[in-house]
Amino acid sequence: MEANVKGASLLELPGEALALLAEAVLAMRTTGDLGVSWGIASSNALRALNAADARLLRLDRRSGALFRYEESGVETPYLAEHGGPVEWVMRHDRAMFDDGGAGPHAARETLLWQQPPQALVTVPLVAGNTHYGFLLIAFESPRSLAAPERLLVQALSDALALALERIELLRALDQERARVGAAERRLVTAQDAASGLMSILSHELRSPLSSIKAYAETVAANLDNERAPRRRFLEVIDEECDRLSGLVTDVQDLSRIEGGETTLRLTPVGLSELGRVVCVEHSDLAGKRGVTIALECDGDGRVEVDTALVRRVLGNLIANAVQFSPEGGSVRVRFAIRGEEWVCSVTDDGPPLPAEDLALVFEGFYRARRELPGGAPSHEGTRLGLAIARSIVVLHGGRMWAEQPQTGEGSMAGARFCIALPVRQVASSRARRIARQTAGRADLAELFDAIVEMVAASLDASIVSLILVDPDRGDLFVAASLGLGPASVDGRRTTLRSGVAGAVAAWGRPVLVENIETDRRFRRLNHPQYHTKSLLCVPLRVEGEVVGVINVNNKINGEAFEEDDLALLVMLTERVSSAIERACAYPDSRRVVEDALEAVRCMTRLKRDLSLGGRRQMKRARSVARELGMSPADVDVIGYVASIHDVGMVRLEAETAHPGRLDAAQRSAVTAHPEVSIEILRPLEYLGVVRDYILGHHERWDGTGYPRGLTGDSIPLGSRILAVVDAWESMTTARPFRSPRDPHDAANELRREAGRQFDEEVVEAFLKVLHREGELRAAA
Amino acid sequence: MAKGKILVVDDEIYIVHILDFSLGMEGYEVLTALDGEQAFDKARAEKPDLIVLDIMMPKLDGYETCKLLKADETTKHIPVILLSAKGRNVDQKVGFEVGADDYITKPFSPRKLVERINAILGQSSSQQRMQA
Repeated sequence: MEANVKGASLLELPGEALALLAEAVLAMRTTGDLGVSWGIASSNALRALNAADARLLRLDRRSGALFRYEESGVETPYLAEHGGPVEWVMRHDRAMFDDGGAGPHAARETLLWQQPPQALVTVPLVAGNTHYGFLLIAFESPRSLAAPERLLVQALSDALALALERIELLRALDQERARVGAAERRLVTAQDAASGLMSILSHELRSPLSSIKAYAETVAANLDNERAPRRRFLEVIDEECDRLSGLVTDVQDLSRIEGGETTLRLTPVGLSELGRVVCVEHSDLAGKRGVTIALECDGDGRVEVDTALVRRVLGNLIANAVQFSPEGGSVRVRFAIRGEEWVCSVTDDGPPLPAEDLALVFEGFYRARRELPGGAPSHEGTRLGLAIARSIVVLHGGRMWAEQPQTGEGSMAGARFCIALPVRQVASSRARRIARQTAGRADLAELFDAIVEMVAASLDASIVSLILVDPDRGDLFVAASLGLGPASVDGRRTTLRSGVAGAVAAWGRPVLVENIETDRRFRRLNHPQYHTKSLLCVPLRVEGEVVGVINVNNKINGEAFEEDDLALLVMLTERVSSAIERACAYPDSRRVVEDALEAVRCMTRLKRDLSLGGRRQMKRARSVARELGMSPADVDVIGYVASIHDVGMVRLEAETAHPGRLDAAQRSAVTAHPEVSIEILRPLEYLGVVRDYILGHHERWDGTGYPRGLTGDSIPLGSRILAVVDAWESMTTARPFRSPRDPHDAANELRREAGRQFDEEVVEAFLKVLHREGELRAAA
Repeated sequence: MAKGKILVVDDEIYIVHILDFSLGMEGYEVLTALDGEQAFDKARAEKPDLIVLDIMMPKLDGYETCKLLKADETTKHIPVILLSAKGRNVDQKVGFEVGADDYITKPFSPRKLVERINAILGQSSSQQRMQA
């Protein structure tokens, strides 16, 4: 029944058939519209072959479902006939020419036709290595195709497959264009913001330039004029040049700090010592203005800071305070240690700071609306001072704010600027010791790469990074990442305390951020690389020490992350941590890392290639567990197991390469998959209950399940939940040889099997969850 | 006898000083102000013959000050030259909308500013100049 076209040539076809073929192929090459392509291909094929009817079945490669394609563009799901030609063609990956010899009632995908065909051609549509669907051509009477006619069918199929491929590529291109468009819009917004800064900056630069130009011209015009204070004019030029170069330096500093180019040189320093130094530094300036500086230290201790940068911050605050103080006034500088933070406040008794300005003062070029004493303008520092101070504080993982001091009588006077910085910056010596053990091991580097891929696949995320403590410097660096441009990875380091990763490493607690722009813990601008503003960040602990974090951004469907996602990431991270812990414990064993690597890769393939253990399943399993009153810790375990319990299928998939009906040997391999899953996960798993849940998820309530034939309550509750969630997922998802069931139909099936295959109580809880999700209408 | 009275308004003290010198050498009497409010008060009290007004100033900026001056019966006839670091066309447009008579961008040449002032004060109508 197969094509035998050796030695045949298309030129043997009648001229009319050739013309029809040429017209169809040409038309398909030029249109991006599948309806038009299919319309021409089918009508020309029918005429050239004198056939009765033709069908196009499109294979959806994501879901594996088949769709009957109509010229109008309408698609209806189609289920291939059991033992029929489509199944045969898919399995053998070549065309089938049924000449009618098998009789009038042979399987010919009867549901596709108005009249049962008496002969049928079924051709796979393959372009490259990708299968796009099937072309079926039906005849009213038995008909054997001559070799040149088979060539014609083949040529048509090839053109049709190419048309399908092109349409898919065009669709992908459109999506890509939309993404590029969105990125461009974000870029324009960023440029607008930048040009706003540029316009202020150009004003700021022109002020000293104006003076320099005006004075220089005036000096030149008055070289012989005895009445002109030429020396004073030259002094002004000199002073304004200094101001200009100070401004340029500040702009450079600010962009270096904000651009992440500055790394902190951290040293421990005594807090009271730091206070004394900065106050002495500014006492001359204060003395000249008749202002006193009072230093007060509430407690003392060593703090880890970049001394030069922090002195600059404090100096800026004190200089500002002195500048705004009236003659005879005082500036109070107060240091204190409060738990994990140290705080410094600088209070002056100059004019009050307008309340609406309290939040604005740290923006670049904020123009103080406080009046300087005597109305005298000042050239002390530039207006970028506070913006630079704030970026230095943020780099240390600290906060900075301004407030209105309350005086005893409740009157408003003066202003107070405060900073709060963490006492400890660098990773502990134990964490650094562990980091040293992992650094430079090629096998671990490979494992880290596999881990970020696995996390991305498990959480539908497109950007994931694994960030570790640098053993020598105690700061953090990106050890592995997915979806980040090289520019953001190379050399990008962060102080342990700065940024979200730093904060999570320092706090040692997992964090879910729904919107980074509004989250009060980390108020900052969203990085344009991240489409979504939601992120997850979980600390990576080895031997109880935080040695890094796993950072997840940018969910593929664009929604914010939820608590369920965070819980899954925590569970995954704990497994990853235990693998790293073992690698450190047995530094000479290659095997430990290799096994973990295999486990992690299987977890990725489970989601990527088999689309099993998706987030929806994980969330439903958690909801059911909650519904049944399980503890939060148990809910977390259920969610995790729901995500990975079928991992054994990855190995079986490799052995049973073709989808479809299984023979006896394959069937017995499938029944072994719970054990295979456990085997694969062994290098990562340390909880007995996880193994029990996985092992029991194909047991049946009535004792007819596998592998142990347990009954009723002796099946772990977690396994009973998985059984129901899996059954639902499998019933309602399209596969090549099975169309998805209607939800109500599937719910009835669950009810029918309650007490037989499933635990009745679990089915009830599951249906409640579905109702709440809106998956089932209340009436059903 | 002074050629006329000029009010120079700028929050940059060095600019005020150099204009004081240059206009003084030219024979003008110079009054100074460091912000818009001061400028408005001095203009009403002293009735200068021309005002050089910076745009970017704290409290009352140059545009606002200019509007006030042009709305006040006692000061509306006084020619105003706006002086600013902003050099874009949109700023000039706004400047003329608020009734300014001329516009000079920083960095500027004191000599050219003096020439401009001489020209304005030497002419009977600043309006004709605007239309030219």
